[in-house]
Amino acid sequence: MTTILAIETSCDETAAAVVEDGRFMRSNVVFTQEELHRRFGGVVPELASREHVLGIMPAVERALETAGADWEQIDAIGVSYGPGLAGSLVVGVNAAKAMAFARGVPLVGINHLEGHVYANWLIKRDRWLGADGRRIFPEPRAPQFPLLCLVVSGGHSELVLMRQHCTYQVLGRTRDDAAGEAFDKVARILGLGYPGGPAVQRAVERLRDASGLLHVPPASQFTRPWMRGTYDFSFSGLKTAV
Amino acid sequence: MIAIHGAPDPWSPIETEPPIILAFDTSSTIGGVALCRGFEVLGEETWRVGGSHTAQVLPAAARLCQRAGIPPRATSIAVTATGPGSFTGLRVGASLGKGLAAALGAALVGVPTLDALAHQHRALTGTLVALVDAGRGQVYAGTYRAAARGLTRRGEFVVLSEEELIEHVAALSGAAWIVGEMWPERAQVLAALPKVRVATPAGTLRRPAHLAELGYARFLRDGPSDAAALQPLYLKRGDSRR
Ligand SMILES: [Zn+2]
Repeated sequence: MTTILAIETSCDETAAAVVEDGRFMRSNVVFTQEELHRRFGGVVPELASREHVLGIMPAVERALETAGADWEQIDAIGVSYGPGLAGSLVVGVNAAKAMAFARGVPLVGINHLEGHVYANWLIKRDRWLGADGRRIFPEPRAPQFPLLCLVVSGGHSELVLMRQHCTYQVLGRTRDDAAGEAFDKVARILGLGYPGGPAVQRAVERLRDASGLLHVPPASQFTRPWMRGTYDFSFSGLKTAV
Repeated sequence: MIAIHGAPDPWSPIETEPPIILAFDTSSTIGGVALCRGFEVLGEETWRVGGSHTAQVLPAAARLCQRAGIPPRATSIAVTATGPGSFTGLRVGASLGKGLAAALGAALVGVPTLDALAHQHRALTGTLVALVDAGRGQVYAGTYRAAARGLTRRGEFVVLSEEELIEHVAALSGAAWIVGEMWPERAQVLAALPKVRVATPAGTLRRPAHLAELGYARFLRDGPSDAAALQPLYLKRGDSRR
């Protein structure tokens, strides 16, 4: 059994987790800075970096505590090294380096996008640990190769083909904004708040009538974010149309 | 009398096994690491950082530990220079310190960079103006007076332009020494002022053994800093002006 303490500070979340054998989550702690950045309508890099400095130790300590793990059980430290905000990454990467150095365990640098992809292998604690604290068998099946992975967030929109572990073929990606970025910008234009995804969702919910039907303008008014003949996306036209 | 402001005499015999201390200074393009056993200096590295602190500081710490035959996990006090200085640089040091504190349960002690630099030059008499480069022709400056109990800081840390620095130094009463980051043109202008002397180029380098010494002295006097809550001194132009 391999137990990894993983740290992620790419953008506006200070996060730490303890994971067994790359699949079994013993803990997953995420401190979001959403509240801090909301009034600016987007992530302010300097503020994000400062918040990571304050959040990194509590996040790691809570991840270990929730997992019931002590440092002797940690076999390696994983950390996302980018892409992301340089000032934010500095905090997680240096804290992780110091931990690996101090404990004499390997440091594994992880591309942030690979992290998104491999989230699909993770199993939540209550799905592999019973109430008696014993492992539940059989464990949920792992994703099978070849597989297609759509990575969508505030920072990226990519379509990735995987034929085996750790090999990626990017079939398509956004040519301008990421999907989440488009949501943020649209929400800002419409004065709906930040972050845009949940804000737009809430606004849409208000259009639901008593029978639960949604009354939204026909989508045909908007451009499609798919670049014909490719696997690429483009969200800037959609944003302009809104 | 050998004094570090209210702390025990560093030459007094100590009965208990002194703690292993690692000190990091990443405040500017000068980087430094020191390894100490209590007040005994086992080694230090200080250098002009070409690329990033992130890639250079821990390898230096590893070399020091290996040379001294001390495993990194023996560290029980981490000292970091808290600034003022480059925000990103300071966050590297804070994150390294926090990583060690989290992984080893080590105490973390934050020491202002300019205090450590003044401490390094405490044998000089009169007024001491300590400088850290702030980029774009500006400096972070701290002003100190040598007193019987040790050095006393006068006023707040400030960010000064070239002209403001000259004004500040010219307005000091009595003899003054200028120490810390310096350039030939700046040195010539400052040294031309009456009763002002500028440290030689070797004196511009910040020596992390002094940071470790002052950090340990403050640890003995005040105990550790609140590691999770420790953050750099984010001083920018317009702040803390007198
Ligand atoms: Zn992401």
